[in-house]
Formats: sequence, C-alpha cells, structure tokens
Amino acid sequence: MTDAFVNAIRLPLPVGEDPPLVRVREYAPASADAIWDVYKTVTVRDALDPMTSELVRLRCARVNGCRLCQSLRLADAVRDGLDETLAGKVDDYEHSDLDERHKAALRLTDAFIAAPDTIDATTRADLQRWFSDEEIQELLLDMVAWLQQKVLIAFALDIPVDPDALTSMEYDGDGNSVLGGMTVS
Amino acid sequence: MPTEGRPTARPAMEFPPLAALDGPAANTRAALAATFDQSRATVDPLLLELAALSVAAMLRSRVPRTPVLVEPERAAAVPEWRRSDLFTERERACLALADQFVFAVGSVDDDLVAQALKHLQPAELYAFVNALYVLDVTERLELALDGLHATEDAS
Repeated sequence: MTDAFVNAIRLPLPVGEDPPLVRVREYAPASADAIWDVYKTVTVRDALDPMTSELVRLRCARVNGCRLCQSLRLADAVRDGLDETLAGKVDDYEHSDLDERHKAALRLTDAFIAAPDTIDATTRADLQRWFSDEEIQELLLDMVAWLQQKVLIAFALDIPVDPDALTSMEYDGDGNSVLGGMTVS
Repeated sequence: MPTEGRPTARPAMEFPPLAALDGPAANTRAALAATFDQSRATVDPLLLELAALSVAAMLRSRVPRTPVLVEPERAAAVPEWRRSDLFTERERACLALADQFVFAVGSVDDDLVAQALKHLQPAELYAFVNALYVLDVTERLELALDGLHATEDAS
C-alpha cells in the first residue's frame, strides 16, 4: 500500500500495524460487524448468476467511484467469461452490445442509486422478462451489499489491494470476501 | 403510482417492515434490523434522527416520518436546513455530510469530513457514517420493494 493512499485517508485512525480497513473498525466494532453481517447474508445467496451480479457490482463501483471495488473482479464471473472489454461496457451500457438481460439489471441498478422512488410495477414487468422474482430480489440485495462501499469512499478508505493490478475476489462459505487469497471478515 | 392511499406514518428511527423480504431474504432483513439497533447504540440519538429525517426527505420516501426527539419545527425544516437558522453548527456539519453521502458520495471531500471532525470524535464520526449507510440503503430498499410490488399490493 503506497503512502499516497494512506496519507489521503480523511479519518484519523487508531494506531496500529493492521491495514486501515481493519483499524477503522476498532472505532465501532459492533456496528461494523452488524453491517458486515448484512453483506454476508447477501453474498451466500446464489439465485443470481455470477456474471450479472458482477456487472451490477461494477456499475455501483463506477457510479460511486469506489477505487477498491473497481479493482476487484469476481473469480466466478471471470470463469464465466468476464474480461475487461465486457467489464468496460457497464459505463455506457445502453449503447453497448451487452444483452438485454444485463441492461435490465443495470437499469435497476441506476434507478436504485439515483432515484429509487421511480422503481415501479413497470420496472418489475421489464425485469420479469429476464429474471425470476427471486433473482430480482437478489439483485436488490446485491446493491444493498455493494453500497457498503460508500462508507469507505467517504473516508477515502477505498484503497485497492494492489493499486497497479486487478485483484481476484471470491466468497468463502460464510459469505466473507476473499481478496487475492486474503479473507476479509 | 407505487402505493394506493396514504401510507401510515412511522417514527423516524423505526425499522421498516420490508415484508417482501421473506424466505431466504429474511436473514438479510434481520441483519438490517440489527444494524438499526447498532446505530441507535452508537450514535447521538438526536443526530441520528436528524439524519433519518434528512435521508427520507432526500430519497423522497413515501412513508411520512414522525420525529420523536427533534422538535416539530426543526423536523419540518430539515429538507431546507441550509437556509434555516434552527440547526447548530454540529448538526449542520452532519447534515452536510449526509447530503453528499446519499447522492454524491464520491464528492465527499477533505473539508466536509474536517468540518464534521470539529464536532465529532473520529469514532463518533465513523459510527455516524456507518449509520448513514444503514439509513440510506434501507430507505432505498423500502422504496424499491414497495415500487416493485405495488400492483400485487393494490390488487
């Protein structure tokens, strides 16, 4: 981790040798754990295919500007064919050749982020062309999980694991993220 | 029109029913409810209620919120807090952060956080921003679920 990233963190952190993301949790461990528990209840679910889940995660990351999230790639989605050309299409997805199913998921993502009060029965009808009700529910819950990034962004704690390269992400059996082989819990 | 009739008001910091989160999603609903409990346990109750009122207003919640701790005149002024003299500097610093957090978190800057740190200790500010996430995402989820299920609710 470079000094430039650490020096840009906006919140004074508890002193220690642990990474900033670990140290900041010492301020409110029960609160941080409760929020992480929400994340884990979502990431253990598997109704939705990894590719769709990953495109939605990347859209949240791009819109909110999370440097950490943008630097991660879900290993299951990569195994299913995600490459950087495909990942880059989330930026201007409406004008891309992404399939309509993924575009519908990304439209829901944008509505959830920009104007959740506009989500309505018409939105649902559009989504139901491509997704089951369980998958639609999981799309929303994915966004709930991904938007934890906002806490990190606010304090400039969204520091990539490797600033110079993409990092592979998986989930362990409990729903914790495993970033480049290192479990985050 | 997502909901039929006028929704019943609820206290500003009461966790919403999120009844559509059943089956496997009930675990997530329970975990979200626990984050509300933690927010109440770690954040100044008055600041938390002001934040809840502000987030609900910004996201155009369909459910009216009843202030419990914030005086009615101040609660009514929350959406226009920048033009109001009813809020302390501490409250204004937190409301300013809430504004950016909800719709433009990437625009939170050093100055905004520094202003908040003039009034809150780092641990208090971290807990407050965690609470903002909880309020923000729960409000969004309630709006989305309500909107998506409007037709079946109305039938």
